[in-house]
Amino acid sequence: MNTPREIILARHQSAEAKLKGIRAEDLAACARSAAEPGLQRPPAFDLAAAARRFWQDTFKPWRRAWIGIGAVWLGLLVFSVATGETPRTTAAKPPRPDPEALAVLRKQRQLRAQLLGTGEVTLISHLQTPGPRSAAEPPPGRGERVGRMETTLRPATSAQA
Amino acid sequence: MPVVTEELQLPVREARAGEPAAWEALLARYRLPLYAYVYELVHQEQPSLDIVQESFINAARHISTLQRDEKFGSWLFNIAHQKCLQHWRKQRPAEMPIDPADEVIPDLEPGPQELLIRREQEDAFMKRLDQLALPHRAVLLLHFIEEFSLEEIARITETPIGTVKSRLHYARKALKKLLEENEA
Repeated sequence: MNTPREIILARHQSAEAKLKGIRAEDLAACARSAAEPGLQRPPAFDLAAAARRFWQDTFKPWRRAWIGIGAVWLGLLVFSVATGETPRTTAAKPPRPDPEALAVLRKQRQLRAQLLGTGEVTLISHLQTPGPRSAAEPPPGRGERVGRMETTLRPATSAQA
Repeated sequence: MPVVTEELQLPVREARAGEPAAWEALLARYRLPLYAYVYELVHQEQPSLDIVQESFINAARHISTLQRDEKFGSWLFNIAHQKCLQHWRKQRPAEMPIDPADEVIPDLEPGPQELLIRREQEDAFMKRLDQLALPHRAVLLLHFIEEFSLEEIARITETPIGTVKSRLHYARKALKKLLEENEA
């Protein structure tokens, strides 16, 4: 008659030779290096252990509270989907200006440009309805200025030649 | 009758100081029981040898954190148990054992030495032990191999003491039934 311990250990007696490969000197060296604070390495970050700690410390004690919060969130989500409300984050487009008011403004600016000189004409031009570029006439003052520039540049180019 | 628990005489303090002779004594005391325990859970020779070696290395590295020297045995088995579970999860994640429902447990359980097995029943005993679910097998092996107390087994397996009691009762009952069937 044998005890379970005797039976179990006898079954594995053949592994004893292989187990002797574990060297006591190596273990002692491990223990010594761990005991010296200067040689201790900081423990490597273990994601599984951190997740387990988070679960045990943060979630598990307040399980019901977290489940309640989750249920409220779910309820709000279902409610918002059911009512079809979506957040309006896009800015509203500015209303198109009144054409009559634009015409009055354009007229006033043209008048002011005529009174003050040619510089204001370009400011007025952007209020006009844009048409094809080929059809557009150059502003009266600009053509004159270019003409003046050409006449002033010509003698310089001929002098270089 | 062999005396299993002689932790008070174990040179844990010397091992903590890094004395090779102390580690030799701890190896001589625990390597075979630890291997037997690991092998009976894992059922593969090389992984079992690796787990035993890693357990001793881990123990050597962290022995400074062990507060009570007399608990070295259960502490070492806890390290090995966790490694067995890791190995089990890697190998067969879908086959993690399920606990049977808890039963009403009698207060007094017989000690492991009270269960004596005849030579012709040994193979049947080991076969039946292998058939037990992992949690039951683990509890029964710890009870048989090292005669750990219920508190120590609970600490090693990281389960509540009531669960340990239930598993031990269930496993013992299953084994006893088998032995009676064999006898009849």
